[in-house]
Amino acid sequence: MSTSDSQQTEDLVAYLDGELNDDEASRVEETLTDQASIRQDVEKLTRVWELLDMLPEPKRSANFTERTLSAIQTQRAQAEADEADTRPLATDQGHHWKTRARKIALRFAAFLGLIIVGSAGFNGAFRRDTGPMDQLLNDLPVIERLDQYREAGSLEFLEALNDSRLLNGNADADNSDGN
Amino acid sequence: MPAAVATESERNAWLRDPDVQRMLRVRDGDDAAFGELVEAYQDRLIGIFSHVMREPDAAEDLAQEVFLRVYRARARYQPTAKFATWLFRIANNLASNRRRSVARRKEVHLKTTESGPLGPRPEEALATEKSALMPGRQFDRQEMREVVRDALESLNDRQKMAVLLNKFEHMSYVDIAAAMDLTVPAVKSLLTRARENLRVQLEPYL
Repeated sequence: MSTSDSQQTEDLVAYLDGELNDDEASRVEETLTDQASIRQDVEKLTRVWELLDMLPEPKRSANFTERTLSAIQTQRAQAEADEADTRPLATDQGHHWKTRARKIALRFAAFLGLIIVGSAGFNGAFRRDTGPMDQLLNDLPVIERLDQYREAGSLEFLEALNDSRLLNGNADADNSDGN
Repeated sequence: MPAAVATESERNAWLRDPDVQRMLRVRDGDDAAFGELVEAYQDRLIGIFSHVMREPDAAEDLAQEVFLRVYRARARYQPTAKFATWLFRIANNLASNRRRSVARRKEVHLKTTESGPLGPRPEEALATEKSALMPGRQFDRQEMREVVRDALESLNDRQKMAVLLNKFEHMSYVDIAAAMDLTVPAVKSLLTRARENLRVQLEPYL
């Protein structure tokens, strides 16, 4: 079918459907008057269109209206229930978030407290463990010479002995060995 | 929608549509008005869906779904067309979605069909067309009805919908364009091709 034929068929169909304006309809009518073949085409198109009236008319089931309106009622009830559920839900959600935030804050505080207490406990324990050790380390020179100090008898004698410088050479030798 | 912006007179024309008035009452909470719309359109919708879909049982389900969608949309309803145009636009969208869904299912089940992907076997085709090949055969009304139905089935989905809206809903090209989301020239062309196809199919029976 050529473009002009196609356009002519479109115009014929639109004419049959009453979709042309007055000028367009007049032109189609002139063509129909002049050309028998076009008239035959239009007649066939019309008869074919009328054949569609033979299509079976579907019958709806007897309770379709009732079922449909019932479905509408159900949907409306559901929507109202959802709406009712949504309102407290919003409050609950606010409450839920507050509760959750409070729980998080409490947990964080507890964790912080645990760290502080743990740290203090650790330090305390460390000090208890290292205190006697420090003392022992400080007292080590005395402990090493404890037998000699006991033989000396008294602190005053040892101080007098130290002041006399009689043992300075040995003392220097001992110090150099200790280092 | 391809239609141009509505003029004041068009808006007034829509407001004069009694079904638009009913829908506005539905929007305002009048459920009785919705019942009137169901009564007015149920057979028309079921009729369209019965012809458009190849699943007869789907017609009522789809018609009901159209009404449910209309009801769900009631609160935000604004008349921008005749009520029927709006309703059949929803129907057209639903039918398109359902056809796509059915087509996907058929793709999956294609291997299990009796005839296979190459179409009917020769003996199946012969059986189907046997009566049509008999020369001078007189067709009774029931047989002719089947022939017409087959001819309608031979149209593609858009042609079929346009034909049904034009033939049985008496919708203008403008309204069909609005319902099917097409331009008016596209509807004119679609209907011309559809009627030409029908003529080819049915001419031997005229």
